Amino acid sequence: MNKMILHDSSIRHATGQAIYIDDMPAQENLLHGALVLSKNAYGKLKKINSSKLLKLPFYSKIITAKDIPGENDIGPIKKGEPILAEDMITYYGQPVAVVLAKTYQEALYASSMVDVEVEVIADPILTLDDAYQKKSFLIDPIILEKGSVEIEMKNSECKLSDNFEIGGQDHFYLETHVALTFPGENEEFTVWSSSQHPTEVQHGVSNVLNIPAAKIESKVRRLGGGFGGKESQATIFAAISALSAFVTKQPVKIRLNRHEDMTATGKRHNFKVYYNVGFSKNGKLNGLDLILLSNGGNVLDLSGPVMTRALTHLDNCYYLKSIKAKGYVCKTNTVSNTAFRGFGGPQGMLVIENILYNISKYLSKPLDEIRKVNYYSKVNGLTTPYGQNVSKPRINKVLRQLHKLSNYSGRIKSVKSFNLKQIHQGYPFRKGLAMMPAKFGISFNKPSFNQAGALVNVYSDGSIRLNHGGTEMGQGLFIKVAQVVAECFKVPVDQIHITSTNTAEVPNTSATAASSGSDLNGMAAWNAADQIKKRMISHIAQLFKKSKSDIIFYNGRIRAGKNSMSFSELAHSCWDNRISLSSTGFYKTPKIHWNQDKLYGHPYFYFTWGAALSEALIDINTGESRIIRADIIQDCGKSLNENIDIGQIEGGFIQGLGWLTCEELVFASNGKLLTTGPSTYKLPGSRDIPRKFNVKLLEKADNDEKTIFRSKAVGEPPLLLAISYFLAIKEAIRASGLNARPELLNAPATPSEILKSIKG
Amino acid sequence: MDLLQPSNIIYVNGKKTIISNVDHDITVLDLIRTNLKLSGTKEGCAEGDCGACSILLHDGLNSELKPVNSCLVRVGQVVGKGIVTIEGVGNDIAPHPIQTAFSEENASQCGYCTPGFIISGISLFNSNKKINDDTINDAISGNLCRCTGYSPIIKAIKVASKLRKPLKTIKFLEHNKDIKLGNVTYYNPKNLEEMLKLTAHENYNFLAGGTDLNLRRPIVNEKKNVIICLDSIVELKINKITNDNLIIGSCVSIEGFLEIVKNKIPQLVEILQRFGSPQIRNQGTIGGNISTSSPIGDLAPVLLALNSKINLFGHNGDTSVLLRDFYLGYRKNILKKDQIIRSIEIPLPNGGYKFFCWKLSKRYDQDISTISLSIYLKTKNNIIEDIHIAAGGVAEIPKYLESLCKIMTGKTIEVSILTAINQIDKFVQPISDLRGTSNYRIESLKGLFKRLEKCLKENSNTMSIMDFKDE
Repeated sequence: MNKMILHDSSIRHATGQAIYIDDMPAQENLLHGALVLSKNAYGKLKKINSSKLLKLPFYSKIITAKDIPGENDIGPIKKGEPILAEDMITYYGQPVAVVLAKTYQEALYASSMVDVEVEVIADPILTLDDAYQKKSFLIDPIILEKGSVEIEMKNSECKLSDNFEIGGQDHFYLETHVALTFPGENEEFTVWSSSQHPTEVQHGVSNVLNIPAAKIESKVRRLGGGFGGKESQATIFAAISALSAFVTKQPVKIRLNRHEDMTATGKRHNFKVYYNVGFSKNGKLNGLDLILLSNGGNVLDLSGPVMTRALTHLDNCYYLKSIKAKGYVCKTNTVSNTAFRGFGGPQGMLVIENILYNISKYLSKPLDEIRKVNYYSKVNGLTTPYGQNVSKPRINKVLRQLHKLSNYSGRIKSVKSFNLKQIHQGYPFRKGLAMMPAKFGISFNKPSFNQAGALVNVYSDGSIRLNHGGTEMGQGLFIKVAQVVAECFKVPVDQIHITSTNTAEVPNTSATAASSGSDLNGMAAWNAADQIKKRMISHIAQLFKKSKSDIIFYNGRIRAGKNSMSFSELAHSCWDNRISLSSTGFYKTPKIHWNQDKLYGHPYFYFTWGAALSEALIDINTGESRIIRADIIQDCGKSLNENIDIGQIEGGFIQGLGWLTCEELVFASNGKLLTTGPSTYKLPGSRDIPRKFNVKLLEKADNDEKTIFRSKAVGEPPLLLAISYFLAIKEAIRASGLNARPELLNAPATPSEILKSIKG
Repeated sequence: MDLLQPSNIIYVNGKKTIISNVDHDITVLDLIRTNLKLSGTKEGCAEGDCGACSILLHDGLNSELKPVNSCLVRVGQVVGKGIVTIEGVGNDIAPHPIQTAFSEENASQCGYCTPGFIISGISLFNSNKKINDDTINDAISGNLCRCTGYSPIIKAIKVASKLRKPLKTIKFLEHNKDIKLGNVTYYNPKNLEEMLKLTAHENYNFLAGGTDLNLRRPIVNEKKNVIICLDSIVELKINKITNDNLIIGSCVSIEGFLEIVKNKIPQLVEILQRFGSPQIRNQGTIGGNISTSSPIGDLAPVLLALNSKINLFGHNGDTSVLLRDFYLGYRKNILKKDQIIRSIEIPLPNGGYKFFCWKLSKRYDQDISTISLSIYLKTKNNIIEDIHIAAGGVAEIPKYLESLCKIMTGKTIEVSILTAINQIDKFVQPISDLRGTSNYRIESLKGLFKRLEKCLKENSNTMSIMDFKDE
C-alpha cells in the first residue's frame, strides 16, 4: 500500500474548487436564514415580537418553535434539547427564531428587527462553583471508585490538597455551521449539512418534522473542520433549515456567521477540580480523592460520555491503587458544551499530570521520578481503575524513542545551566523542559456506537464507487478508506471514486468521532470489497478452471495461472455472467463491553501510546511564553498513511497548545460570551508553533488487536501531548524565583496566569 | 484608458466585470461569492482576522498586487480597480506552482483556509522581499489554519519559492470612480479641494481605508448617504523626510508607513510588523488609525512618546495640534465634522536619545495589545535628563503619562525606575477585560520598566522574548 499518498482533495483545496455547502450554486427560490438569539441568560420567554418585519421593503418570514410539526427536540442522549427556545431562555445567545429572506444580508438585517421579551425570574448560574453549591446538575454524579481511598489516605506519609481550573475551548473550525435543505415530493427532504453525524441529522430532522427517517436524505461531502463541534450540534441547524424548508416549501440555507457560531454552539467543557492525594515519600500514589466539575451548559448534549472519558483517562499511564473520583456535570446558563477532540480525555489527563507535578514540587524531585514509580507495570499493576487490563504497555518503548529523538538527558542539563546563567546575570528569561507520556483508549465508551457500514459498487468498466458512514472533515478519512478498497482489489487508488456521505446509501451510521473513523469505516469497506472480490474469484476460478487459491490480484490486473486480464475486463466479465458487483459491508468492534452504572468493563478495543517533550521559554517580567522546541513520538500502529497521520499529530498538538495557552473564553457577568471572533479569541498563529518541531511515528509498531491492516487511530491522542508544554511552563515558572508557585497556574496559561504564578 | 467606460466596472481576474444590483452595504467578499459566483474565496470570520477571504488588490498602475481581506473592503472602494481571487491564480488543470506545492506538501487538511494562504504566499512572491522563515511568517500572519499546525504550509511556500512565479498585474482604469450603490454614493475625490466641496452634502462619512469602519453593519445609517473615500487624495499620500522630522500623509497605509520608517526609526519595525496583518496594513491608513481613537492603538503610544504633532485640515484651513491633545475620551477626539487629519509629523529620535516600544498581547501576531509602552529618553551620567512615556491599554485613551515622566526626571536610572514601579498605580488605573486583568496590566507594566532598566544597563535595544536567540 502507498503510505505517502496525498489527500484526495488537496489540489481542489488549493485552487478553491473544493465545494463546501455554502459554495453550492443557489437555486432561484433559495431562502437564507439568520437566527434571532436571546439577549438574556435565564428567564421566561414571554413574547417574540416580529411586527417590524411587516414594514420592511423586502420579503421576510419568521419561523419559531410554534411552527414545529413534530417534537422540538434533538437531544442525542436525553430528551429536552430544543432547536428553538419555547418556554424558557436558558443561556445568553440561545436561538429563539429564524428569519428567512431572499438574501443573506436581508435575513441578517430582518433578524435584528425581532424583539424578544423575557421575564427574568432568577439570576443565571454561570460558574462551576455556583452550580455545585446550588446542586445544579444535568445528571447524577458519575463515580469512579476503586479500593478504599479513606484508608489509603490515612496511611499515607504525605498529603496534598488543592484545586485548579481547566478552561474550555472553541472549536474554531474555519467553516462555520451550515445546512441546506431541499424539499421534494411526498414529504421527502434532502439535507446537506456540515455534520460529523449525518445519521443524527436524519433522525433529528425526522423527529422535528414528524416524518419517517426513510424520507430524509442526509448528505455531507466535506466539512471545513469539525473537531467534535459538529458531532451533535450540527443537528440543531440542520433541523432549523429543514423546518424552514418544511414551512415555506422552498430550499433554505442556514449559515451561521462567526459571531453566531461562537455564541450559539457548544465548546470543550471547562472543568474545575478539587483534589486530595495521599502518597509516599518517593511519590508513589496511594489514594486519590477527586471532585471533577464539568460545565455541561444549559442541556446535557454529550456531557455524560465526556465526563466518563475524563474519568477513564485520569489514570493516564499510571497504576492507581485507590481512587474515588466524583464527576459532576454542572447545569449552567451558558451554551451547552459538546464534543471536542479528546472528548474529556485531555481534561482527565491534565488532572493527573497536574497532581503529579505538584507532588514533584512538594517533594523537590523531578517529575519523571514521580512518574517512574507509578507507571503501569507488572510490578505496580496493570489493571485500570475501571477494570480493563493494560496488557502490554508501550510506555518504555515510546520513551526510548523519544529520548533518542529529543536528546532529553543532554537538554535537561543545558536548560538547567541556561537558567542559572539567567539568574546570575539578572536576565528575565527562564526555560522549562517537560515530558508528557500518554495512553488513550480507542472506541466509543458506548458499545453500540462502535459499528459501521459501507457500500462498494464496481461498475462494468472496472471503476469503483465507494461510500461509507464516515465524514471527511480534513482528517483524510476518505483517502484512507479508499486506500483500503484499492488494496483489496489491488488497483490504483485513483480508480476508487470517493463519494459524499449519504444516509440513503449507508444507513444507521455512527458519528465520525472518537478517533474511530478509519478503524470502523476502513473495516466495513474492506468487508464490502472483500465480498465482491470473493465473488470475482469464484467466477474466475470457474472460467479458467483453476482453484480459487490460484487467483491472484495484482497491479490492477488479475491472474489465474497463465491467464490474465485487467481489472476492468474482469468487471465486465462478471457483469456478463450475471455476478453481483455491489456489496454492503459491516463492521462491529469486537471484545468491548461496558457497565456505565459501575464504570467498569472493557470499554476500549485497544490503547494508543505517545509521548512529547516540550521546551518553554518565559519572560518573568511580562508573563510572555514561547515554545522553543517539541519532540513527539506517536504510536499509529502500522500507519495506513504516514502523510495523513503526521498531519494529524502536528495539527492536533498545535490545537492542544492553543487550548492550554492563548485560547481564552471570556463571559460577561450577564452570561454573554465576549470572545466571539478571532479578533478577541486567539488561536495559535504560524509563529506560535515550536521553532524546532520533530514528529515521528513510533517505529516497529503494529496493533496487537486485529484492526484494519494493524493500524491505530490518530485523531485525538496527539492533542493532549500539548500538556507537555503546559508542564514545561510550570517548570519555567518554578525556575523563576523563590516566590514562584507553579501550582497556581490554571489553564490556559495566558500571560496573566503565568505572571500571577511567578509572583506567587 | 477608455473614458467611455461606465463607472461600475471592476477588473476581476483580468476580466472587465460590470457591477449591477449591488447594495452599498455589500463587501467585496459578498460580491465575488454571491454575485460573481466565485466561491473559492471563503468567509471565515467577516472581521478581518482569519484571512480566509484574502484577495489581491491592484489599486495603481505602478503598485504591487497587495493582499487585503475582502470582507473588510466595500464594493464602492474598488470600482475601477483590479482584484485577483483564487480562481485567477490557477486551477486543477493548470495550477500555479504554489498550488501544486500546497497539494504535494500536505498543506491542506479541511481546505477551507487554503485559498487565503495561497493568496498571502503569492503576495510574497510578488513583493521584492527575500523569502525565508521570517518573511513567510510575516506574509501569513493574517491567516489562521485550525488543522495543520502551519508547518506544512510554511514548507509549501518555501518549496514554491524556488520558482517564485509572481502573478502578472493587469491593466485597468487608473482611478477610483464615484459610484452610487443603493441609496449611498461613494465619492473618490482626487484632491483636498474636491473633498471640501463634497462636505457640502448634508450627511457624510469619511472613509480612510476602512478596516475599522467597515466592520460596522450597516456602514452608514439610512440618513448618511454619502461616503467620502480619502485614499485617492494626493495631498494625503505624501511623505517628507527632513533631518529631524518625518511628515507622513494621513492616507499612507500602515504597510507604507512601515517601509518609510524602517530605516529611520528601526525600533518601530517590530511593533509595525505586529500591527494587524499584511492584509490589514495594506488597507488601513495611519490617519484612519489615529482618528478611530481606540484606547489601545498600537501606533498611538509610539507617536505620543515621540511627541508627534498632527496637522488637521478642514473648512477653516490648516491647524496643528500635539497628538497628546487630540484624544478627548473613549473613541472621541477633537476632529470637527468637516475636519480630517492631513498628515502627521514625527520628530526623528535625536542622537542623544533612546527609544523603546513594546507590546504585550495573548498572541504574538495579529492581536490587539493588552498593554503597550513606549519610552523616549535621554540619560547622562546615569541620570535621566528627559523622558517621554506613553501607554496603550491603560485608560480610555492612548495616554501620554506626563506626571510619571515628571517624577522620573532628574533621578538616577535605578531610583527613577524604582519610583516608577512603586508608584505606577497612581498614574494608570487599567480595567480588567478579555485581554487581561487590571492586575496583569499593572504588574506587566512594572515588568516592562524592569526590562527598560536592563536595556539601559546593557545598552541593548530591546529584550523581548521573540528576539531571544538560543546560543
